[in-house]
This record gives sequence, structure tokens and C-alpha cells, in this order.
Amino acid sequence: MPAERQHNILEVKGINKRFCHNIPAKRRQLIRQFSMAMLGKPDDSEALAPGEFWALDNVSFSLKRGEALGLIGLNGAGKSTLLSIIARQLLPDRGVVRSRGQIAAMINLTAGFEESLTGRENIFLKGALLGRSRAQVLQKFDEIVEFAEIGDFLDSPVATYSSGMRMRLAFSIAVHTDPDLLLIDEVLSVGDFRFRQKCLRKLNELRSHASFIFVSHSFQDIARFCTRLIVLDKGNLVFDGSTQEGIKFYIGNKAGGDGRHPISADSSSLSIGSAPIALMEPFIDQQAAITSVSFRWFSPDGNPISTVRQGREIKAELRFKPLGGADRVAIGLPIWSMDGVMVTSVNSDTSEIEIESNAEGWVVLQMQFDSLDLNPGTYFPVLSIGKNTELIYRQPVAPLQVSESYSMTWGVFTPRVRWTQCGEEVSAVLSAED
Amino acid sequence: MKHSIDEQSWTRFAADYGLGHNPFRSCSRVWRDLIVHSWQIWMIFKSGFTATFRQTVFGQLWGVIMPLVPLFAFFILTLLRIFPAHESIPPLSYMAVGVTLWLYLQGLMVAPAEAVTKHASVLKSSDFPMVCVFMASYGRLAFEMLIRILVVAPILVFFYEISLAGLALVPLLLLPASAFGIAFGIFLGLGGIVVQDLKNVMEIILRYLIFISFAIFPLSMSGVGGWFYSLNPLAIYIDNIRNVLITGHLATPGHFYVVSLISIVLLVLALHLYSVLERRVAGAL
Repeated sequence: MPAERQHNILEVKGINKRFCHNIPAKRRQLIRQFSMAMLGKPDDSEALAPGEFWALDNVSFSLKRGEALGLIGLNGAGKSTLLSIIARQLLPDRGVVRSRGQIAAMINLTAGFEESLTGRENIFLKGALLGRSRAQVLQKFDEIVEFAEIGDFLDSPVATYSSGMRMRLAFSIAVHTDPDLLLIDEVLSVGDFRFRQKCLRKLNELRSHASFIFVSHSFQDIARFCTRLIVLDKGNLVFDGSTQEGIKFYIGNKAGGDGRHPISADSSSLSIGSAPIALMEPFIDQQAAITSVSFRWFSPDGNPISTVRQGREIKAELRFKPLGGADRVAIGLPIWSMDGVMVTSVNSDTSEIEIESNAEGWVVLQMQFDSLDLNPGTYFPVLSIGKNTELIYRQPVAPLQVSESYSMTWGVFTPRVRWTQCGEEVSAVLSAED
Repeated sequence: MKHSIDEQSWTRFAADYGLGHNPFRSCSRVWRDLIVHSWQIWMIFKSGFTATFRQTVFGQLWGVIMPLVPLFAFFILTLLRIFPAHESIPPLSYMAVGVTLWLYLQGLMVAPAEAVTKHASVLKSSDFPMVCVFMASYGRLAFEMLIRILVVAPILVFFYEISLAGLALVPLLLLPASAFGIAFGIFLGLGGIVVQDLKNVMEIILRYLIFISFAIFPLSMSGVGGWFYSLNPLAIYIDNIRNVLITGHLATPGHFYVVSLISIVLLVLALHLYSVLERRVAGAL
């Protein structure tokens, strides 16, 4: 075996998968596959029949032992399809998947639960459906129950569980395993914040002895777990490289390119630009209701800027023409961090401003941020304009780069805090309260 | 003991999955899956059985009552002498054995399609072998058959119409009959995923085929009745097995041997087809 393959646990080569837009096309495809299989041939033609499309198109990569690979892309990019093929649930139409060791897939976690059976019975049933032996289920039973935190509900029918409890139980059953490769498909939206942290801790434990392929829309989770990132776009692998570079690439190229040609992880090719982030959607532009929208950041001395130092004053100017007048118009400016978290949002409704249009029908507004306390990084605002209860415009505007910092920073913003040494007078106040 | 990754061999999964196998290798793969997953099959059967009646007042009692309902319906109709009688076998014995065998064979044919529908979400989101959910549904069928036998046996004993030699042969004769039912069931289960109308068509056919399958009452072997008999493997199996049980010999040995041979071949082909198509149709569920 070549040296470079020695540590591989998974090799995906030239994978293609056809899907259909409608039921008749799907039926025709199945009949064709049936007929070809009866003749002992795979249905691996390069051409697409009417109503078909490539859900995956010539995807290749390999995974080393101990590696944690993130998989991101818009809805319909082919992430789950790729995971299903690796998990041997779906057969590829072309290409080969080679794997070593045991693969466990955390996909559609609650599938197979019997509503009228108790949690205890469902642990055995679901364990069986995941291919585990009775001894394996018995060995992990107590850990599963303890982790799921279903307490007295263990012997109650699953039908009586809340959706959170059901997900916790399903996650607990799925995660208590000992695989060589773990496939995780967007399953970390489990339960409340505390339980989610617990899940992440558990996955971190598994991370020490298993390889991961991790599908998520959360850049935070991807950044936390993955050492490498693959970006899929319309079934094509368009990026394969480091996690940070991959996130930058995804943000900068969400809808860009024809998606057919892999792009290297070379940072010089990365462009944040003003491209939208998937997580900021939906984007709206009702041109029958609003035109000529413009937005710019500028410094207190009136110069347009795209970078501001942390803690400095910054202003924004907004212009647009509401075609039905400015009555009951409201403006919002949610701001996202680079890892897809909405950091804050400002809204004209919470101010005392009366939005009005001038004689030419223009609305011109300024926003002043006295002290921008966001930590250094790139931030992505989305200008949202509503009229009555309807959003008539919602589009990303120029990203803002926050540079430098007061000192070390944590999280996404650093509030101005004044520290005071408590003197004798404070001690006296505390004593009086006692 | 778990081997290190470096010691483990590669598993290949590609578009030509299962295509290079000959039918006997396919059969052996299915057999291996069944053996490896025997506990899982038991769990699915047990869970399905428990879950079906858990929320009812009579609970598991329904599991005993339901298989007997069609038998009692025909029992009453036979007592009312609505159906023509066989020349040598009493009508009640004729019907009891015939309907029991019919329900068993019919169950073998429709259970896989029902199991696929019931477990679609699991089959779609895991690599769990489809044949294991087929087998779990046959577990339920075996239980229902057992319940019916417990009711039918006293009827036969009461009428002293049982051949001990025949009784010993019945399990052997049930093998090719089961092979036919299972083969047909697999074809229907897989075909139903591709063309769902198949399930509806079969449901209609099986609902009325019982009346020309020599299960409830005999038909004249001359003319159309003879054709119904010769072209309907279910009729041949039911008539011959019943005859062996009651008289100790096959009614139409020639028909029985030919149909048995065809059934075995069909089963091998069905298992091969299953082996080739299982992963191909799972994505369509």
C-alpha cells in the first residue's frame, strides 16, 4: 500500500449521484436501474435523462485517521447525500467509496422510534436498528439513560416525551458507540443550551479516538471540531482546505462562480467582498416598493471607510426612495460575525426618529455609533427596510472590518468597564447591610 | 478485540455493488445477514408486536383474536353450507386447513411490502439490511399461523381426519410453498418501491384469489376450474398439503413437484435480485 494511503480511513473517488426533480422521472430512473441491474450492469452513464440532475458531481477526497472534516454548503449542495453514500445508505451512480473500520452515522436520529414503546424498549429497538448487538446495548444502557436525562420517563411511552426529550434520547443512543469514523449530519440542535454543551463535550471525547465528518450550518461548531473543511456547491466540491480558510471561502463565494472547478485554499484567492452569507438569508428586494437603496460607512470627518478601530465612533448613511411614501417605514441593521452568529441589531423602531421622505421622495438617514465595541474581525450587516408589517428590502451591505483592540479580547464584543478598588467606605456599606 | 485501523481491510462501495455476484453467492450473503442480525430481527419483531396493541384495552389479546377473525368468518359460512362440499373431506376440515394455508401464503407474499412501508425511514437512513425487516414481519406471520393451528388442530382431531404420516410430512411440504411465498413477497416488496401501483394491484388480486384457490371450497377440475388449478401455484400447494395432512398422499403429485421446483428457482432468483437491488432502491424509499 502506498505510504500516503497507510493512514487513510476513507477514500472517496469520483462520486456522482443522480436525483430527480419529480416522481415520474424518479420512477423512470428506478425502472432503468432495475433493468440495468438485471443485466448485471451499473446505471453509470454520464448523461442525464429529462428531469434528472447531479446531486453530487465528481466528488473526491480522502480522510486520514484522527482527522475531523467539516462539510458545509447551502441547502441542496449535496452534503447529506454525500454523507449517506459514505454511510453506505445510498449507492453512488459513479465512483467508489473505500473505507476501513466501523462507520457510525448520526443521520435522522429519531427514525425507527416506536411511539407506543417506552424509552427503555426504544433504546433496545433503536440500538438493534443501528446494527448493535444485545451485549453492546446492555453494556452502554446505563450511560445512554444517564446521558439522555430522561429520568422517570424511562419507562413511559416515547409518545409522552417532549420533542427535546425524544431528541436527547435519540442522540444519546446514537452517540454511545465506538466507531472508527463518525458521520454527523446537523444533529447538534439538540435540547437546551446546557444539553447542547454536553453533546459537544461527548463528541469531543469521541474525537480523541475517531475520525469525524461533520455537517453543520454553524461555523462555530465547524471551527470548534474540524481541522479541515470541504465546501460543496450544487453537488461540486469547490473547496478543500483548512477550516478557517474554508469558512472565509464559503462566506466570500456563497453564490459565486459556476461551482464546477475546485478552488485551492490559497488565501490570496479569498475574497470577503460584499458577498452575502448564507445564514443571513432571506434576501428581499421589492423593486415595486423601494428603489435606489444605498448604504455607506463613514468616519466622523465624513470620509467613506470600510475599517474602523475598536471603540471608535463610526457613522453610516442610508438613502432610498420608498415608492409608496415613507409612512410606517422601519429600518433594521442586524450584524453578523464571520462565524455566522448574529452579534447585534439596531432598529429605528427603538429610537425616537420619525422617518420621512424629502420633497424628491428620498429618505436620507444617518446612524451614529458612539463607540463601536465589537472585537477585531469582519462583520456583515444586512440592511432591512420594512413597511407596515412587510419587509420590502433585505440585502447585505458593505462589510465592516474592526481593527486593533484595547488588549486581549474574548467573544465578539468588549464592553467598556471601569474597574474600582473597593475602599473602606464600601466595606462600611456592606457591614451596615448585614 | 477491536483491530487497529491499519490491520483492517478496505470495504468497497461503488456503483457496481452486488452486480458481480452469482445467485448462490447472493443467497449466502442474505443468509449471513440473517444470522448476523438474528437478535436485531427478534427485537424488531418483539417491538412491533408489543407496540401494535399496547394502547388498546385488551392489549396483547388482540394478537390472538385478530388472526382468528377470518377463520371464524369462513367457519360460520361453512356451517351455513353456503359453499360446495368436497366429496371425501368434511367441509369444516377442508375450509379450516385451506384458509390457514391461504392466510400463511398470502401473508408471506404481502409482508415484505408492508414491512418496507413501515420501516421506510429506518431503511432510508441506515444500512440496516432490508431482508431483516422482511424476516421480522415473517415472525409475526409465524405467530399468527401458530394461533390458527392451535384452533384448527382440535377440529381435525375431532373429526379423526388426520394422517400421522401426513402430519410428519407437512413441514417438509411447507418448505417449497414458503419458498414460493417468500420469493413472490420479495419481488413485490422491491417492485412496490419502484411502481407503487403494484401493491394495490396485488391487494385486489389476493382479496379475490382465495375463491379460486381451493382454499374454502373445491372447484370442478374440468373446464375453467382445472385451469384455475393448474395456473395457480397457491391452489396446488393448498390442495396437496391439505390432502397429505388428511389422506396421507398428494392430490396432484406432478403439479406439486413442478411447482416446487419452480418455487425454489424463484426463491434463488428473488434473493439474487434483492441482493443486487437492495441498496439501489433504498434511496427511493
